[in-house]
Amino acid sequence: MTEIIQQLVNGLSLGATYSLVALGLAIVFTTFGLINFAHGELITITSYVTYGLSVLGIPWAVAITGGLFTAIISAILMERIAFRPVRGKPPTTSLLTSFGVSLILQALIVIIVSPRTKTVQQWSWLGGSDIVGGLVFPRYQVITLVVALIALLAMVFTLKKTNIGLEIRGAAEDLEGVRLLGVRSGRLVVVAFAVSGLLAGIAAVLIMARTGGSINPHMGLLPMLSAFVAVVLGGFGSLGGAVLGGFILGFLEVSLRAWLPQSAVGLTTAIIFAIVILVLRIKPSGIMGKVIEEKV
Amino acid sequence: MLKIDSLSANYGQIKAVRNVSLTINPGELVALLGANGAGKTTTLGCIMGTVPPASGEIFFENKNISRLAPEDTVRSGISISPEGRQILRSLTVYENLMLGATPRKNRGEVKADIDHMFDRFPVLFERSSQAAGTLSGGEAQQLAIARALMASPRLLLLDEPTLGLAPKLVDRVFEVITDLKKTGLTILLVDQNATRAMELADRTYVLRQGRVVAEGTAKQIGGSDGLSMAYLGNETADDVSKNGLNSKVKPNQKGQVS
Repeated sequence: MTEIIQQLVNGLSLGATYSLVALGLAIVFTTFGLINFAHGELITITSYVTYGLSVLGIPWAVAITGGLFTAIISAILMERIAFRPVRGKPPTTSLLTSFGVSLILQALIVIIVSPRTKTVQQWSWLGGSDIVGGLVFPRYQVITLVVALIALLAMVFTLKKTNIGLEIRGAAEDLEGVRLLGVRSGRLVVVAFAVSGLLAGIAAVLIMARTGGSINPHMGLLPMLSAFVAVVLGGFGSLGGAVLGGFILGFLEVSLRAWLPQSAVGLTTAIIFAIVILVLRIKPSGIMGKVIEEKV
Repeated sequence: MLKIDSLSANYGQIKAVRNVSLTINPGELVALLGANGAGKTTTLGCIMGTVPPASGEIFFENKNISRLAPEDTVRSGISISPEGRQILRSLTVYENLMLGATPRKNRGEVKADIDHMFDRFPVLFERSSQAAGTLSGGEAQQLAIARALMASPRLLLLDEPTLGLAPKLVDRVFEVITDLKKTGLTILLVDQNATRAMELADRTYVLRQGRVVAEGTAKQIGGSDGLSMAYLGNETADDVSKNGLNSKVKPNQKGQVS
């Protein structure tokens, strides 16, 4: 029982991290139909900026803020420089563009910093563990869970209760339709990318906490792929589905790693993808995805 | 108020609108009629900025709006209840109305206006917190009109507001349009209930194959007979006026059918 609860918390904390990445991906996809495969590099950039600032001896709070700020700016620049010129072109063009951006950013980090793994000096408050109700939880899991939940709740509030949130949800359903209502698509692009950058940045900090501060130029790839699968699983076009998909993936990953026999742990990812395929066989539009109606 | 000057536009490869000129004066209800594919919706698209004009200019309150993006057209004072209603199905009725008010700054006024809409369209009040996707066709149409009004436009475009509605609901929509006309709002109406639209309108333009083939009051066009002549176009506008079959049709100087 104890172990189950501990694994549950671990699953929630990993799932919440995936949800943040997936939500950022989904906001950009639902509003502009762009699958941004360079989304993972926003995680990498945040981590390296945080690392760089920490190395310079800057206090952790400032270093993290710097990382988050850079993620937001990078996301906006990404759109301005790479994606805007290919807007209105076939979706494959922007998809390939995002692959290109991803590769270029990875290469830049390899060239400018180093191809090797670096370690961010771990923040003292991340160590140790918390005892809640007689159960012991690693501190980083508790913090991850709390931070991610606050971020998700803030997003829910923004999407549900503010004007810009309403515009984003409207654009997620029909971008051209909301432009006819006066929604400025240019401003919306900037906001959507900025939000996706912020969410990726927060996720980066949580990932660093989970991995003990170990960072490398390709660290964004796996979270990005997991988030992509989460979005597909939850249902493309559904913001809530992306969050749900993130949590499901987190749970699956943690549970399989915990309870698979030692010899089969290597199959974790394969089993997760098999389950995803099964779900999509049953419901091709994803768990919360709407069936796209053909216009007559 | 609105002046379209020799507008041409393409819909894909097709020349959907050819050399159309059209004027709407303040406070007028103008009907834009024609068969399917005559170019009505493309004309409205050009006004709103969703379809780029191939040539020609559109002026609204003496300002050239021909190349404005849709969001800027709305800000200059024109809003539309689009064909097929295009309500946002996943949002609530209330949220649809709020989005309609996007160009406006004063949120207090917007809230008061939503209450006005609920008075005018009681059915929307009953469903205000429901997802708009659950509305019936007639309710969705009323939402589309109310949402367009939330921008507090000076010119309202209505594209096929009665399409696919049961006769009773068609009556309801025409009642709404009649009420709006009484408030002095300037309206451009596209509707398949051509005779009814023409009778309600101050003036009517008839499009055929992208050209204006008749324009004027219901009387000038010659009632429903004149209208079907203009629609069908089995005789040219010239023939029509010569034969006296429909002597009241005023052939358009620019838009003659060859």
